[in-house]
Amino acid sequence: MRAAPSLLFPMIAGGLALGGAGALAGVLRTRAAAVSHELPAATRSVARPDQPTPVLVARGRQLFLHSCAHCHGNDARGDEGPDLHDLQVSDRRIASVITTGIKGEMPSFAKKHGAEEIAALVVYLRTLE
Amino acid sequence: MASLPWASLHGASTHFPVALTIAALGFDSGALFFWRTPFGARLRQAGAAAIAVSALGSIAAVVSGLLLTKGQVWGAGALGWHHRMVWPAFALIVSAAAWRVQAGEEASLRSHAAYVGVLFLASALVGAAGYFGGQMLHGLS
Repeated sequence: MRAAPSLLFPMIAGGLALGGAGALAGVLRTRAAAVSHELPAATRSVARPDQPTPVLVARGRQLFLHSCAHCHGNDARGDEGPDLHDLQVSDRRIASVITTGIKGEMPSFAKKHGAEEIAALVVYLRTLE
Repeated sequence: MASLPWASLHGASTHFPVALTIAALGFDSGALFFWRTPFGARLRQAGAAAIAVSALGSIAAVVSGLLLTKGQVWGAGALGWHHRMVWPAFALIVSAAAWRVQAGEEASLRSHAAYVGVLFLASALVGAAGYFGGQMLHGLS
């Protein structure tokens, strides 16, 4: 009967691969931080008395973190996508962009989010000043 | 750095290791049924070549992904789920390739069956990573 080949070499290879990726990630994060306009984790309050319910804002933030944060940054200060604070366009325009996307720049979210969810996203984005 | 099309390069480079890992799973699964035959040996050779090239390709995929996210290794939402699947898949693919290259034709049927199990897990993880990657790209659920 043949002996099972050692698992040591594969484990070392896998560990080195992950370690190398982690090291590269660290270098890239350091470089990106030097030129990034993204602020540290959000500390602002998202609730405002003249806005719709905190529940709706929280729902919008939850949706934002799931679908938008990987391009616009967790604090919506922009990353691959633009800064979404203090948007100078109408709610309808914001909803339209989320729904239809921007050709070559941003995908459509029409199939992923219904009207109520897009409305919650718009409410959340309006809290960002 | 942002001016370079990392998103396109990442998309282009990820499909090869995904396809090759699944191909290796197919070849090496088939080899289990033809273990002592010349055909089984050829299936094992094809599987070994596929997982070795997949491991090399996965390095390019990971590097382009890290450049795309500026070094972000986790993240929120779909990106977070993409990474939860990608990192174990990457480690499993590289480890599997290292084991396969090291084992050559010396592995027992039992060891090879365990290896096929690892390939199955890696294929499932890398497929799920692709699903969440597609969610980010196309916005579909």
